[in-house]
Amino acid sequence: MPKTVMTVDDSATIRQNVSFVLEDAGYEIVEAVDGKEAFDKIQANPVDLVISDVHMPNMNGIELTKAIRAHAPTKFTPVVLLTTESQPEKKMEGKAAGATGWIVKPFQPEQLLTVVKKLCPL
Amino acid sequence: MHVMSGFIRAGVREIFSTMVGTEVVCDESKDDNFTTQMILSGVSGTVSVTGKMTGSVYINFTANLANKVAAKIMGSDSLSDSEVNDVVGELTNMVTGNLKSKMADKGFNCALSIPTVIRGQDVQINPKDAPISLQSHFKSAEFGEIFTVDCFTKLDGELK
Repeated sequence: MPKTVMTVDDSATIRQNVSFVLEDAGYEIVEAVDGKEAFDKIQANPVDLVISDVHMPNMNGIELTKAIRAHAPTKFTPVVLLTTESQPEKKMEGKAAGATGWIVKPFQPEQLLTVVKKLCPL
Repeated sequence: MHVMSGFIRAGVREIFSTMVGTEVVCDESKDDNFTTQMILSGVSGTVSVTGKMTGSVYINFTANLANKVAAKIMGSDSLSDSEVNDVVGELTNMVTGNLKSKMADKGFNCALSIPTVIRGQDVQINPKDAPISLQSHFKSAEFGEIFTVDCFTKLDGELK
């Protein structure tokens, strides 16, 4: 059974770029435009990995990570934050919220795939 | 060349190489300091920053160039204006985020707004209270047209 990865970003460009790379590698993709939509979808249909932007309307990536960690069925779902932010204190904020990994935009497809394969092997 | 222009130019080159798959060069002969006004024409993305650095960053493409860049990133020639806007907004977000990171390393931490995209001809921008006004001109051999990155900022402290 293929693994399902959720890409969460208010930019369709990033969602599509992530989808291209991961679908090509054999993952199934679910998309969400912000943290709120992502968490609603995850509660209805859990996924194997979440890749989320940080800055988004409604619910940001840090809030989404906290929500995922606080919800028993998704408590251990890996969350990778994909963002333009690269400051150590921001990464610490993500880690404190429960994020598993952090990728800085712009990202190389191989870099994304390496992280995803490590956290969610096919 | 202003220190921030160096940050912007390096960031734009990296982002276009990684996300667009094209190499861009900066026209070093263009003066990177300008004064009180900027005219946007075509498709422009802007992100505001606030904190130890306040102001705005703009990327200004002709409509034709915006379409070409978006088509390359999205792998499709038939994109809606909304899809092209999204690409321009995301590129602006990355360029500004890259600048933010480099400025944070210099002690000027700030927060970013969500990108806004402006379409139109001869849109006049008059920044207020922006002592640092920088413009860089970029071109890729692949696309052939120039685009600009403009940065209007004020820093809370001295940039060394």
